[in-house]
Amino acid sequence: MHLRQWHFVETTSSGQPVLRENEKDIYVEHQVGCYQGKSKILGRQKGRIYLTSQRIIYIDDEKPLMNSISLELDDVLQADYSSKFLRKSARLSIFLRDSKTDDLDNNSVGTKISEGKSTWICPICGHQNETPGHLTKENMHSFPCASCGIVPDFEMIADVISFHNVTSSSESDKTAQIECPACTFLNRPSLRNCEICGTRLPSKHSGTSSDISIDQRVKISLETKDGLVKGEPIYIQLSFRLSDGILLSQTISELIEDRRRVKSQNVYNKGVQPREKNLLEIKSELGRAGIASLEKSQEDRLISNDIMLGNALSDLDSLMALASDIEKLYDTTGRSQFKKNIPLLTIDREKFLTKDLFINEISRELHSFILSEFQEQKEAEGVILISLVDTYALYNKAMRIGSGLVSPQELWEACKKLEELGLSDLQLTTINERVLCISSGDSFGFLKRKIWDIVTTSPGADLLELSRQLNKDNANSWTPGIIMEALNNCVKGGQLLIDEQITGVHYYANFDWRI
Amino acid sequence: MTESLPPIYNFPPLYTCQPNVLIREQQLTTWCDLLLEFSKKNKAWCVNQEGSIVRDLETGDNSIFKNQTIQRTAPAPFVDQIWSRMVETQKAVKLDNGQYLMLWRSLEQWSSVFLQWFETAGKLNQVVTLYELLEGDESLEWEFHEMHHKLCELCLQKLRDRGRATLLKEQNRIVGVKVL
Repeated sequence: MHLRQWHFVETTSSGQPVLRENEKDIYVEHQVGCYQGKSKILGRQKGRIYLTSQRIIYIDDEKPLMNSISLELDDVLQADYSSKFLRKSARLSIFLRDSKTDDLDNNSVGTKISEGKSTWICPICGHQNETPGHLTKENMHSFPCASCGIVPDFEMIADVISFHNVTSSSESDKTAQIECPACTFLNRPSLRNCEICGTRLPSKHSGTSSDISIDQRVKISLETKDGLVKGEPIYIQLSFRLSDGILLSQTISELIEDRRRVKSQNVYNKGVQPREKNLLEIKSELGRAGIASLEKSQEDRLISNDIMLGNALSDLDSLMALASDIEKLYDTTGRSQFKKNIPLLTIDREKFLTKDLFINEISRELHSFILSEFQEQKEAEGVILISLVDTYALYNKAMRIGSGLVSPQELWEACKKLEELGLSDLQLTTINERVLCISSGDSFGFLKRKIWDIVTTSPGADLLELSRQLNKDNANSWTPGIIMEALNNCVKGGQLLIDEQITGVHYYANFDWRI
Repeated sequence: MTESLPPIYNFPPLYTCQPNVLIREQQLTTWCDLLLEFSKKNKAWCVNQEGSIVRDLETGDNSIFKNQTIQRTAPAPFVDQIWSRMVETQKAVKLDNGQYLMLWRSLEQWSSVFLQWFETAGKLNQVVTLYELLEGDESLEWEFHEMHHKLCELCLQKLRDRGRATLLKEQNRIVGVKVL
């Protein structure tokens, strides 16, 4: 039996988690094993931990599609770090929130209207009015028709007044749909995060129905008993096999604190800035006597005034910044530009301990990038062939804005790693002994066969014509650079003959001069 | 003049020097065959560097290296390669004035043809002038009729080397021959 808090994670084929709307990744930790309570979880002992703004995601190195699981940060109560000791590797114990405490929070947040509603139709204008509470002859005069403003005679509308209890009806609505606390969109009850903005939805499950909320796609088997007792706090552990994991645990603790603060912001101290932790503490030592102590206290007062003024000024600055932000926002909305917010993993090289791990991650990202970018071609023709130069340009343009660019050297190393990481449907190949390409299967041979077909059916085709015919169905899947290399290869191999003109080189199939 | 050549003459890649060495070898062979075919059909004993037929004094305008039908011309460096291949394989002889004698039959073959004529015409042990041999009525039916003088001299020299002929010279030019 596994914990309610484990969730299934969707991953890309290259072993990266699929992020939600508005979700951002923060940190990646390598070589981590997972424990539930005290016991190892089988099949989840070697993987990566992706820390995002909403979840802690474990991606298994061996079976990323099957064995990947995640925890919602909202479920996390607290994280305790214990360092390496003899053979025991460094660990992070994550204490999870119980479902019952969860419900308590929700109840305090949700305000319920216990009043009913009366509806009646105005006899004068026919407008359908809605009035809170019971409508009686006594309070009728305070509810004029919303449309014509005339208070009707109670007897006239007595027949058409209908009263219904809002709470009961809304309750039944709410079992069917869950309102998002951030954007008020009504989501399907099976969803855990808002479909529109990705905010975590309040779970409506009471204690008895908590079994239903267990994600059936997660299959966890333990090595031994987990030693979790009902009533005691539930916890899981992450064991760091390679690094000490301090960075991850600090980041998680900060995140949890941050989320708690954001949550409470709606209730009190709206819009406050978090206080700097290393603010100068002033202690007045009263141990001294005489003029020295007076001088000292005067100095202290001056310093404290200074700090207060400084704080006031920085507050003012942040206020000004807010104002300019609003101004900017106003400007952009005025032009009505809709920017799509696509959640992307931004791989920051600072997040990685060694260059090797960074290259591995780049390699994974590159794999999924190429597969998604050239999906159309892959489906239509079954093969992909892109020169490394094109890949470099595309990749750096599409993925790396904001988090620095990768160098050609790094890209080359990442491509060499593809096979090692088990992403062998793409590989690095060299065509014509000099041009590096990323290809899937025998794509070069495939391209050459296609060119041969075109040249035999329309002799004298030039590069322009060939690329037009090759890209007939989907635009720009075969780049001219690649086609040129394939043509050169064919000419070198003797399959094609060239006819050089001022207008360009035309290609003919070689039938007459056999080698 | 070029109408009767095989269809490969109208194949555009023929006019571009192919980058593949093995293919180029065959391309050059094709050119040599075409040149011989061309000269044989047109009785072109002598062709200049540009590929036009040279008769007595006038030079033709049509070059074999220019194909009007498909608007292609073999570039000059490539033409040089073709000619050197022709000379190498003894399908042509370069003259001092830069023109080429076309040998669609080898010199040995021609000399035996001459010998045959001498025998059938009963001209053995007689002095026969070159004019008689090449322009005379008795050789009208023969392939070597109106043969280029220089080529004829080369063939007769072959006969002399074999000891079958004596050459009569006048001012360093061969004017007559006596075949034994």
